[in-house]
Amino acid sequence: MISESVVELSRWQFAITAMYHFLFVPLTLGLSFLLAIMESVYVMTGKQIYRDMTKFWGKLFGINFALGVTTGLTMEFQFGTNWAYYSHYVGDVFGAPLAIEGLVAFFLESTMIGLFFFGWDRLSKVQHLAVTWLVALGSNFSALWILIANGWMQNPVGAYFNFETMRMEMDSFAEVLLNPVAQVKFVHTVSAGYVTGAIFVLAVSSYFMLRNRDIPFARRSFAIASAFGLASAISVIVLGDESGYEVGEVQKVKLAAIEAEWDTHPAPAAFTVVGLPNEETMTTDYALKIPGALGLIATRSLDEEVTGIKDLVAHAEDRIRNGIVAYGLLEKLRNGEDTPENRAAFSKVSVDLGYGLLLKRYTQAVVDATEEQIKLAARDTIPQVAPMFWTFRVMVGAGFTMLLLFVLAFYYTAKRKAYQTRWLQWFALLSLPLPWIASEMGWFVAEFGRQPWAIGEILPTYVATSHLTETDLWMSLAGFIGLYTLFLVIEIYLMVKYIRKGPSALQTGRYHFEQNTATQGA
Amino acid sequence: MWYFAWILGVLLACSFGIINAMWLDAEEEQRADD
Amino acid sequence: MFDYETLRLVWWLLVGVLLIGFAIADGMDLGTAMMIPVLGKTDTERRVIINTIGPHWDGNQVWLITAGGAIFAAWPLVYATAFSGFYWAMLLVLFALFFRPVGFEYRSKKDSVAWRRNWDYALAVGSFVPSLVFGVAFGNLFLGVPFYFDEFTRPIYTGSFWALLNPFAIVCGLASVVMLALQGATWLQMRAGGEVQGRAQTMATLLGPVLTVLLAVAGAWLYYGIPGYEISSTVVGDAPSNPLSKTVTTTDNWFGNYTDYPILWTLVAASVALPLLTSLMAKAGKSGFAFTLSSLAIAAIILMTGFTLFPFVMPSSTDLASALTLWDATSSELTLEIMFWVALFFVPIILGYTLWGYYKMWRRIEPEFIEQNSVSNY
Repeated sequence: MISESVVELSRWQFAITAMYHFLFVPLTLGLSFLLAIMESVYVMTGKQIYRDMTKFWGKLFGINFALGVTTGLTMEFQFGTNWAYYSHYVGDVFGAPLAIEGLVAFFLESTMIGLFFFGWDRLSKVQHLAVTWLVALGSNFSALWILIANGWMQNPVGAYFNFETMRMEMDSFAEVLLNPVAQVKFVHTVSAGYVTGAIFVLAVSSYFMLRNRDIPFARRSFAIASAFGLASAISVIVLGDESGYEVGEVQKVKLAAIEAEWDTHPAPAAFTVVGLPNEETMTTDYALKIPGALGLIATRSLDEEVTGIKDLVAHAEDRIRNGIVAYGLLEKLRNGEDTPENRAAFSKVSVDLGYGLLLKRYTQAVVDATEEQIKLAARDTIPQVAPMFWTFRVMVGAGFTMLLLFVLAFYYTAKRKAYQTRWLQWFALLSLPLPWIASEMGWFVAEFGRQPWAIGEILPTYVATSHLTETDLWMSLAGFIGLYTLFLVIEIYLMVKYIRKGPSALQTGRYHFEQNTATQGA
Repeated sequence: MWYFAWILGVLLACSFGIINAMWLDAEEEQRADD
Repeated sequence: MFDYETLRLVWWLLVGVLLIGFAIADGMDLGTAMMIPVLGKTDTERRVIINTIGPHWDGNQVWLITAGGAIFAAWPLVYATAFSGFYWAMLLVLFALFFRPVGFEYRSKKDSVAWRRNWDYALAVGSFVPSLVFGVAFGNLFLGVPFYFDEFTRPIYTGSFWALLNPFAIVCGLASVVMLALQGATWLQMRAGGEVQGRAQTMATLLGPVLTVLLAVAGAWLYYGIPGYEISSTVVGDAPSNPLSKTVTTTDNWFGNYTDYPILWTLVAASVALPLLTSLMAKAGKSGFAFTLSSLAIAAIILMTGFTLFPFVMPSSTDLASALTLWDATSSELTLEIMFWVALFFVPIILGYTLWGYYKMWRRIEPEFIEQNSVSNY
């Protein structure tokens, strides 16, 4: 029997290390393209200030990137160390995009990043520009393959269960690649990264403007970030909506939890803006609703229903009963009764095998599960509603706030007033945490909303762990938290140090702290 | 085909950024000439 | 194009290629970084050492990540069993590796003696520990690893972390450390200027014979003192991957393959001779040759290890049939085939731009260069 606390601790460890990793990833994704933009302008116009911009923002990029690499290593190791059964059960499908990520993307990004930092005097202008673009492309391709892997966890297409090897095996690589969930997740995630990069540049440039330092440097950075950010913010929101639509198609449970849809209502369903979801009574108290809106968003129609949680639980119960049959047949097949009849019978019900495995949390003898145990397992198929409901709304709120910021920033830049508009600069500076809050909330919705599954409707999280002890987990968790805290403190210290110095950190002699008059640079 | 949309979108967003910077520069130069 | 059996064999070779790529490329900067406090006395000298690998360590490290990913994709059972079984060894490697990206990137971003000294040690330890643990892990493969599979193929490890640190495995671990340090020393002799170059030469001259001795000790121990394993049932190369469908027995030692294919002794000869030749070249001041020979030595040593274990990847000491071999621990035929084409297409491209990077950055890093470009260097 797997210990409940080992599962809990493994989940905590994965959640903490993954969310920590994603503090650094979005900035890498976005800032790399911003560097490429700045350097492109430098190569096209030959103006020194754009070279300095590329170098200065590149320094901040490097400080962030180091921790992105560090924490990315953990992700590569952790499936094997802590989710061994998962690794065996789906490695045939899930391992492929991870390996391809290394070969196709990460090699490119990491090799080029060395040339980006050290190649300024060793490469021609155009060669160096190409290197910068390749860094950006490499990091984005990296995200592509990781999200193909993640998309498959949400919506496992192109694979079947092989009872002889006791695992999922791929039968269509194209389906894995073109998985609609992977596609929208990829575009939504990288756009969120671009927004992160743009907000970062906008906020730090605003800090320079508020301090009245290096204005030409700050204005240009601000202009680039506001345009790039505006385009990206629009795309995050459009694609987030598309993502919601895809979720409505393939992950009905997640959608119902996000929207606290307890019952199936006549179409089109109302959208609950805010309210207090109550797990006990399965109702949402004090709900503020917009009639018809959810039906429109989730189904893009007026006559399709959004299935409510109560109906989804009933549906899960049916599938668990099927899963029990599948599990029984699997045991027969693996214990010497490999007959054509058993194979045929198993292939009919094997899609529900995962539902049978949900019972493992309550009993080892799955085939003899009691009614009570089936009811408990069926209830497990719905993630907790309140956390889903709230994190989703925080993410959306942050997203629209940032969109507003970009619209204003772009408008005031176009009017050439951004550098005199103090309130806008304060707005940009104070918005600095928003993209990180939105990203973390978004991942929470995506992955907490996947529960109780490690692989959607295939492999319950509960059975996916390694054979470890509680002590192992407590110690490794402490190790991760300790080291990660230390690194984060150092990273923030260096970031602040370099942001305070501004472009003067490049020691070119052209910027604020290197001027005798100490008023303005360049 | 959202992958395709990404290629177009990212090119568009980058061009948007480049153009915005060059517009600002062009205007400053003009002002300096005046 | 290939049948399942051939693909399995090809993937065994490809994993070998990735491990050799890792040991040659990342081994070079692991070896270099572990000697920072030894070969660099002043801040400038230490920066000379770090900056020889500055543009390259990050790309090199991807060999490790890709090897890990490839094992996940091609040998999911090996990935699951080894990473979870060697839990603490793996975490130790991971925690140590953490200090490298941050160490390289942050070390020279603050002008403080204590700050820089601490990062120097962090880089050295962060490079030494993984080199040691990888060798220890390979040593334990020869001894067999205590694990079995339950009825649903869940890997269950029954050993402890401390049992991994047995004398034979420690000799293997030391050999691994010395092998990578030799690679780092020849690199530094070739690329570092000033005092560091001479110290690296001395180090490279010393380490070759040490490596040969360690390999000879490990080899003799393996020959006389450690039983081997062999598959005692018929091998079906295209059967579904299920380790429990075969039987395994122990043998006198691991040298059965050498009796069947005496040609393999050439690998042993190369593994013993190449480190010595490396040192001779280093002593003669021919650092380019020394580095090449050291890289060849690494390839020979890893191939020797692989062929000795063949067809085993991870034998089990407690439940012999659970042993993972290249025939029964792989992915499905489709996955192996897709991954084969991806690797065939992308590995040459990777080698191409990596070599371009080395070519563009090729120069001896002199102390004056560091002092004049203090801001832009690590």
